[in-house]
Amino acid sequence: MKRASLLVCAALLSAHTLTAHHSFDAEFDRTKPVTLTGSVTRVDWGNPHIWVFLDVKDDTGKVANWGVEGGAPNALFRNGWRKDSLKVGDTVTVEGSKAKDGSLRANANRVTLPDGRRVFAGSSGGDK
Amino acid sequence: MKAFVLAGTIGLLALGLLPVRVTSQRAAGAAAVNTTAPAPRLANGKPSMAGVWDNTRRADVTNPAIPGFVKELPYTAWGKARWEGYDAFMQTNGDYVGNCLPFGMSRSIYGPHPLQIVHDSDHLVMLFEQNSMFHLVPTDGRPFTKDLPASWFGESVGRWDGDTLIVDTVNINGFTRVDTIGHPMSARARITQTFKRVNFGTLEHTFTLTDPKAYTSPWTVKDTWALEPETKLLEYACMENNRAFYEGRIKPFVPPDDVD
Repeated sequence: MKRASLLVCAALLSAHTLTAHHSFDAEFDRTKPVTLTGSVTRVDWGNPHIWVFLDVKDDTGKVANWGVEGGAPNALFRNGWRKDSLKVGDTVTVEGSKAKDGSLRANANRVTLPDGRRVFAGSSGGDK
Repeated sequence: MKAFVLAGTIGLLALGLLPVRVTSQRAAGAAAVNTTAPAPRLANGKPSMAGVWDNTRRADVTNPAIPGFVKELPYTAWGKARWEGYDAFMQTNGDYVGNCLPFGMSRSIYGPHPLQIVHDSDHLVMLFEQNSMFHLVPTDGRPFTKDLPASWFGESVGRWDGDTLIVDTVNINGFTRVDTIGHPMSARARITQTFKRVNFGTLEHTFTLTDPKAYTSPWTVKDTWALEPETKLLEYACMENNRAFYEGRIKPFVPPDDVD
């Protein structure tokens, strides 16, 4: 835990945010929050943002495949994320904002992992 | 270790310090650095600006929450119209950074990704992780290149005033915005930056924009950067996974025709 404590301190003191390279508002609507729980079907670890795809079942049992945008991979890596932090088949919950075009796309702000930990996913929502 | 770092992230969340600042990771064998030691010197005796710096993130140069901000931007009529007419969603002229085109000097300096400076007696080189871009600043006394076509970052030359390096940049194409929120600039812009290494671990930086098409007078942003000796720049191939563009949420860039 000593290492963890050091990392928390470093995170507090360090400078580079996880935030996006272009305006959040160009793509997403911060007034349309969405929470998605589903099974990971694909993880695209690449620039300028990682994308995670989930099969999400609605109240009627119908399944839709959502794509959610996370932070830049280098920034996520520096913050402890790894390419396999989310695996195909994991059940996760994503909290974020819907895309403005109404597609099955969202920007991920928080991700709750299978073990219950709720972590930041690199959203630019607070950094207009 | 991953678990610990993620636990650390939760700790940050609990403290309400979002957006989370990114911790760097110590490279294997990296030596401890005395950040209060005197500034290192180049072969010519001038201070070296070399290092990875925590270039201040400024999504909005007028944001009063970030020290060194600009209180009020002195728009010209053109600048005001261009500012008020900018709509991130409508993507005036397409969002050039969403197209993975160059961010230009100010948005690279003030972006969310780290900056490394490489420096010798004749050149200062800025390496931007954002889009894996570089920018060369000759400091050997050469003038600007005659008739060089304008470009995203423009062309820079550097000169010394005592121990302060002054970098002037001109010949900018005018397609870039000052910051993420979209403050305007034109092809008439001249950027003047100063770099002063206060000690081994601290660099004072100023960014002055002189742009008579967009602003009635020059304005300056001031920063103090800390050395980040444990951060290593990584590749950033912007278009490899640019789904926002591939899927049409970001429109193709169209160069504006009124920036000269």
